[in-house]
Amino acid sequence: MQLLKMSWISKINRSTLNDYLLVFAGGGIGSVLRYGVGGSLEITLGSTLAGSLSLLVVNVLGAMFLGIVSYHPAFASDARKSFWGVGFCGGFTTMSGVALFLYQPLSIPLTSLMFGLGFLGFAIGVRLGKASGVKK
Amino acid sequence: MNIQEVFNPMILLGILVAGGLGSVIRFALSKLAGFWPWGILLANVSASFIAGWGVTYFSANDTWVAILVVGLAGGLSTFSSWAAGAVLLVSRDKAISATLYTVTTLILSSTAAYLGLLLG
Repeated sequence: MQLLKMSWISKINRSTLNDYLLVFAGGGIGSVLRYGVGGSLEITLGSTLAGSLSLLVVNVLGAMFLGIVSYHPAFASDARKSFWGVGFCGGFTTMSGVALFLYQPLSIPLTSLMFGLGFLGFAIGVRLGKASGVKK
Repeated sequence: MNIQEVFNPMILLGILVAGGLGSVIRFALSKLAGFWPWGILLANVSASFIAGWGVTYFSANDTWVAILVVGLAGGLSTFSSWAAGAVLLVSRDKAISATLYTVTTLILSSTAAYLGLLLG
């Protein structure tokens, strides 16, 4: 795999108050959306299936979207990376939910699947983001 | 739970604020980075403890569980940054380091969640 340059992460080291406000907004919205996905699945599928499925859905989609945000030209500015990358993707995905889930039945195969798909999802997101950059 | 219980406006507002706050703390911690993204690891481990603690401590109160566990702990922890960190390490031919980072994240987070469940 090609060497990835996550230069924007070091750039964000010099964050302004505006970046923090954008992270707050994006993280709040991402968290509410994650709760919405879990709640909707709970209403439609029942609580047994919803917990594990919603973790899988938010984490894999969130990882893929972060790959896109990291390289797509539409997210090139620091402000957009703060809102969509650090805020939204970080708030939408969760590791604490995974840690709690590990004490439930069938957690090992499902968690392995989630980490495998999350890894692939981010890599695919990077590809998609870079491909859009080439066209423009 | 029915739709009214799940999508209660107070719960949604609480998660919005707590998730935003958790994300801001994670953003500040994320600046601690070197060989591994240490700050993200710390965010994930502390969020797992908060989640475990909150589930037990507020077991009788769904609103506080949602705000603290789904909002604060969910916003503080992240899976997407783990994926980014792991892919970045593998792309630099550090697959073993990526595997160790993943296993460390899982072991420390689940231990922290367990301690939280015990102490809550």
